[in-house]
Amino acid sequence: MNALATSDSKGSTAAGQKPGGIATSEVAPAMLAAARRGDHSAFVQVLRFYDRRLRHIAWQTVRDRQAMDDILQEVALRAFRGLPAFRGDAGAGTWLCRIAYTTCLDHLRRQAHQPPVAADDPVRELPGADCTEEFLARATLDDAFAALSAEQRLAVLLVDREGLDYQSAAQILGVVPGTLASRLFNARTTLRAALLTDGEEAHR
Amino acid sequence: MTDRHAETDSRDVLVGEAIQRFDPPEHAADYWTAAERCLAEAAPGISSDAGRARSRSPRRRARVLRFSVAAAAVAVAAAVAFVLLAGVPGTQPGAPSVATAADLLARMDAAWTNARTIQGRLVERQVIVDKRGRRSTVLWTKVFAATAEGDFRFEQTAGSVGDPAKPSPSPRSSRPRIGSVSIYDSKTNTMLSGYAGGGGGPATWVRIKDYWTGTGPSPLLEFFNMLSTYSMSARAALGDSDGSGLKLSETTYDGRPVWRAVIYDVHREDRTHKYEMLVDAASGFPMSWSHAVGDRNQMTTQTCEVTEFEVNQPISAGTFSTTAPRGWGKPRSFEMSPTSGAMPPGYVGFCSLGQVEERVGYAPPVPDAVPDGYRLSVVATAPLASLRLAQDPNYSHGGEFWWWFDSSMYRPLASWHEPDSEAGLTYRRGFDSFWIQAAPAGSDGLPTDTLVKQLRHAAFSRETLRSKRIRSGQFAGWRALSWYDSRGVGVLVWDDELAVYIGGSLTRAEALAVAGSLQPYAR
Repeated sequence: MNALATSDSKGSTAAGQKPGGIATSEVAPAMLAAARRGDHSAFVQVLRFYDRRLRHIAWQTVRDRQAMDDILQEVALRAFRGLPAFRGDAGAGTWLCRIAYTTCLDHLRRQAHQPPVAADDPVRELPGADCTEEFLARATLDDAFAALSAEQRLAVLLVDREGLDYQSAAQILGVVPGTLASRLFNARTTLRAALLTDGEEAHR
Repeated sequence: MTDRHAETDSRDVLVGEAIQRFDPPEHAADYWTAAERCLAEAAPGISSDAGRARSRSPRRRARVLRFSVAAAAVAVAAAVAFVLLAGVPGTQPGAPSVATAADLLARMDAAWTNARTIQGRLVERQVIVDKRGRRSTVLWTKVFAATAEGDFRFEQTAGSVGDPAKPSPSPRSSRPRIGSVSIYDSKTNTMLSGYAGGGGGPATWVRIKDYWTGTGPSPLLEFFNMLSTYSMSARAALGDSDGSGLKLSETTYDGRPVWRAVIYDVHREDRTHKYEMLVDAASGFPMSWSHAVGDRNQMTTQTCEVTEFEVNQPISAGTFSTTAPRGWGKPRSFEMSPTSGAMPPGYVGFCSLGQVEERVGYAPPVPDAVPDGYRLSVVATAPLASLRLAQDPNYSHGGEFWWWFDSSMYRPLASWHEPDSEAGLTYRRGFDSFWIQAAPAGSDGLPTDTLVKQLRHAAFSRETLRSKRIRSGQFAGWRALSWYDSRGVGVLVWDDELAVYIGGSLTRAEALAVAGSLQPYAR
């Protein structure tokens, strides 16, 4: 299941992102090997490679940048200490994201409350969205996205935004692929309906 | 629609592209530096000399620090809660402690509901700093006194920071240097309102007899009452908070025990939002608050401080006397009689709910449910022109007596050009009130596009703006925008025919619930 490592000759993180932001597979094996030998700098490069996925997971959980950074620093520590035991059954990105997800759940348990995601999320600005109708159309998608459960949001973000396969995304979220597929179906149905509604409202 | 993707591992490209907007924020500027340092201290590796030479003690200390922070946060919170619940020395006897946002909100609600008189001094400051560091500051100083029966006296001076702090006028001052005064005496039903001329010019003011014939205090009571207005803002912020970011502590202010509440303290690369306040532990009234929002281009901060505050204490005789300040010259005086129909031009008409439709041409939206204790207090209609001139729901200046352009307020001196087309309802609970203003929508009606643009760009409403579909009532299926700013919460909902604005002493959730319970009044 491990995807082949793809990177440029320098093994830089820049190769981890395709145009449009879709992540490619995994970090270069040499970088990962250096990190497993205890090389901090190499490990940080590994983290940078998967950073947006990790930020997605933490952000959707806590919705606060400071808390997101705190959690991901904790993730970094846990992962670095756990590297010697990482067997490579899953890709390094999947493994890291799983640590991030469980760390977020631990954070929530410590906080003893539900994720602070408002039932109606902020209405986000778009450059050039001066027209009220366009603004409201975007707000429709905001509504729809905010109405999803955290698990559904993570499902669409990991699969449709980050390009992960079902198996990897399911491993990260600790569910079977069928459950992930169900979450994806429900989330996509809601979001597609919102996208269709956007079109209708824009033309009213 | 069938979802072929449920059976395969395919991406939904359409959805994937659409949700790029929801990408998470970037890390703080020093995140990666801190991450490397954290790794080096807590989990030494081979990447640096410092890592190789790390001793056990510092590493263990760092690890304990790192992993105990989260646990300690819980312990500290519990300790604070325990202290608050048990009471601390210096807390006024009988003042209940608070441990959550809901507790504090309930305490503040009770304060306004149960108060009979308030008086004090208030200093309001707004500072705007642009990306070049240029700073503009406006400073207002106000003295206030009011009763729950509707008497009030509000005096205001305005200046700019840089001037030495000038003593603001006392309630009996006869010579305010700059600013305005508004006084209402319920015993004589007389109102005096006006402002001093700039540059030594003549003052402009009026005295209105038989001013108010409604039930209970007029809405101008809280309109001029800046303490009430900012309290609305503080309560809206508190009601908005899910408690996760709330930090509560006890301290003292102006010689009295207060609760310090940091409601928002968010710092991102693209935006900062900080809201904190001090609430008097004995009375539940806010004594000080600060609201800062901004980004890399501009930071706007509003602060307010209340001193010499007294609640339910006797108010000096003559405070509400409608005697003009010395040197203000002759007033314009006239009598008003809304019930007789002999109203001066531009006067807002009071009526019953049953009379609204014949005046404005539509059944007024009326809520099926309101928060406990509220009762309908005022029904008024006004020309639509008043709304065109008050296009900023944040009540920015739009004319000579701009505050009177609000439909639930009064504008005795404005001209009356058009037939009544706006309906305003005011609900009251002690000092608290909220209002529902309806007006025709569409191209000839309320300028919703302009209002929405202003909401999106104004510093405070932009930060708190939310959108939500209404699920019930006459606006079911339509979108409601909600926000809060220095004036409290606001909700704007409209369909093809009618637009409604809700504001006042409500939390966002309460205001949206009111919006969802609106139904056309049926006689």
